[in-house]
Amino acid sequence: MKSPERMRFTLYVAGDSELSLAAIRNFSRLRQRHLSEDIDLVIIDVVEQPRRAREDRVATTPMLVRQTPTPIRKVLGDLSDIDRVADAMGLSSYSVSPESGKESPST
Amino acid sequence: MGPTEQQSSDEEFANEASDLKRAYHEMEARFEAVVSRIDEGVLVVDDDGTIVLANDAAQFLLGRNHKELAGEDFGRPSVLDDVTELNTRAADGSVRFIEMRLIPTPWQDRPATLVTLKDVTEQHERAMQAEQEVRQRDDFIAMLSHELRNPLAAISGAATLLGNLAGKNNQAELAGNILQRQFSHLTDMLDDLLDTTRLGRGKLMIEPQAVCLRAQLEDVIRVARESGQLDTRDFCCQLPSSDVHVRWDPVRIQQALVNLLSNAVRYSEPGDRIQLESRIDGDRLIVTIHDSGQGIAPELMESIFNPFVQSNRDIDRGVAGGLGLGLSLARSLVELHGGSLTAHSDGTGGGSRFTMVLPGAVETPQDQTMSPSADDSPAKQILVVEDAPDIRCMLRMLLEQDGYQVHEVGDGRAGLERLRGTPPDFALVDIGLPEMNGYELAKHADRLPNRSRFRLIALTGYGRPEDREAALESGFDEHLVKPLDFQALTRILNDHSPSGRRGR
Repeated sequence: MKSPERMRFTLYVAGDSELSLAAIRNFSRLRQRHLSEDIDLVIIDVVEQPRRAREDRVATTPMLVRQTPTPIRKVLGDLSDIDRVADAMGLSSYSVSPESGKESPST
Repeated sequence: MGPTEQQSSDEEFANEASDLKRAYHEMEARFEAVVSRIDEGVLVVDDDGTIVLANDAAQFLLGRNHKELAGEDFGRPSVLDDVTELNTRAADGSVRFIEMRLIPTPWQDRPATLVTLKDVTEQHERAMQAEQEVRQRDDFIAMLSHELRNPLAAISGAATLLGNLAGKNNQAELAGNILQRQFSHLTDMLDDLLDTTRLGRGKLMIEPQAVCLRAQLEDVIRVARESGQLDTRDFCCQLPSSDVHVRWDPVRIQQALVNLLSNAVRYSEPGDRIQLESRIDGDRLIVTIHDSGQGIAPELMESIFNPFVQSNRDIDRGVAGGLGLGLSLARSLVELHGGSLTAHSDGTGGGSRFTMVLPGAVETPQDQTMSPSADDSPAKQILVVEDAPDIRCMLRMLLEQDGYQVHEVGDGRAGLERLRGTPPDFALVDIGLPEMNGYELAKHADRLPNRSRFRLIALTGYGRPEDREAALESGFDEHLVKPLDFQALTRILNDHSPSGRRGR
C-alpha cells in the first residue's frame, strides 16, 4: 500500500492587511474542521518576498495553493467560505472517501 | 449541377467562412483594443483558470507584463460572493486593495470568464483611517473618563467633609449640597461617556435577571426625581401590578429609562406633561414615555439616536448639560436586550413619544393593559389627617381626581375619632400634628376593635430607615416621605383594594 502523500500548502498574503489576517484565520479554521492529519503550511508575504511570489507565479493575494498532492490547486480571496475552499482543495473527499481510509495513520 | 458549379460553391463557402473568421478576429482585436484602454483591470480567464488576456491596467495592478501572465493559472475565488476582495503588489511596488468581479463570457468559442479588477485602495484607506480615528477618539474618551474620576472622587470627599464641618451654617450646608448634586451630575456624564465607548467596542455586557416590573419602574422614577427637574413637570405614571415579572438587566434598563425621562425633561418646560406607561402584549413588554414638550423636528428624527447629537436649542435655552449621549445609549442598551427603541413626534412643538419594545421580556405573560383597577366597586374612602390646609387641600383634589372619597381633619385627636365605628379604607397621617402626633395616633388606633378594616399610612419629612422603622413600629402599615410621591401613594391604595383588605 502506497503511503499517503503529505499535504503541502502555501498561503500567499500581502503584509498584515486585513485580508491577510482574515485568510490566515480562516485557514486555521479550515484546518480544524477538515484536516485531521498533520500538514505543511508555508505562509509567504509577497511584500517581503516579491521575488518568491514572482517565481511562484502568484500575482494576487490572499492565495492558497495546494502544492501536493498534485495537481496544484489555487484559490483566491480571504477563504471565508471554508466549505467551498475545502471543496476546491479536494479536502472534503480527502477526509471522507474510502480512499482516505487507506491513508489513515495506520498505514 | 456540374462539378464546376459544385467547386465554385465550395469556394464561395470557403471564402464566406474565412470572411466570417476574419470579421470575428477583427472584432476580437477591436475588443482587446478597447479593453486595453479601460482604467479597470480586465483579464480573460479560460475554463481551466488559465489567463488568456490581460489589459494594461491589469498588468499594472498585478505587477506582471502580459507575457508573465498569459498561460498562468489565475486561481479560483474562494468565496461565492459577487465581489472578491484581493491584495496585489502593483508594478510600482505598492500594495493595492482590489475588488474582483467575474462575468461568464464565451471566448474564442469556448466558455471563459471575464475578470474585472477594480482598484479601491484609496476608498479602503479612507475607511480604515476613519475607523482608526474613531478608535483613537474612543481610547481618548475612555482614558479621560478614568482620569477625571479620581480628582472628582477627591472633590466629592472634600465636599462631604466641609458639609460636616459646616455644622449649623446654613449657607455652607447649601454650598455642600450644590457640590454633591453637581458631582453626581458629572459622574453620570462620565458614566455615559464610558458606556458609549464600551458599546462601540462591543465591551458592554448585559446580565439579565428576573425583576419585578413595578419595583423597577419605581426605581427609575425615584432616580429620575433625584437627578433633577421631574418634579417641575406634570409627571404621571401608571404602574403595573406587582406580580408582573420581567427578565432583563435591571441596571441597564434603568439607565435607558432614566435617560429617556431626562430627555423628556430636557426638552420640555415646567408644567408640561410627561407620561410613563407600560403595557404587556403576549411576552412583549412595551414601555412608552410621552412628553408634551418641544418635540422633534422632522429633519432631526434620523439623527437623534446618534451619539453626540443634540438639538441646538439646548444651548440657546441654557438647559442644564448633557453630552447628547442619552438617547444613543438608551437605544444601544435596549438593542443589547434584543429590543427596539423608536421615537415619534408630530414635529416641533408637538411633543415626543419614545417607545421601547422588549420581546420575550415578560416572564408571566398577561394579556392586559396595566392600569389602576377600574372596577365598579364603591369609591374608596380616605381620611387625610394633616394640619397644613394647603397640603390637605392639594391631597384632597388629587385623590378626588382619582375617584376616592376624601375626608379631612386637621389634628391627631380628631383623626383618631374619625377612625372609630365605620372607618375609612385608608388614613393618610402626617406625623407633626397638634393635639396628638401621628405616632400617638397610630398607637391608639392599634387598640381599636376595627383596626383590621383600615390601613394607616404615615407621611414623614425624612426617608431615613430609622424614620420608617419608627412609623411601622408605632402601628403604621405604610410609610411615605414628604414631599409626597403621589404615584407611590396611588400604588399603595391600588394594592389594597377594599375586597382584599376586608377579606383578611
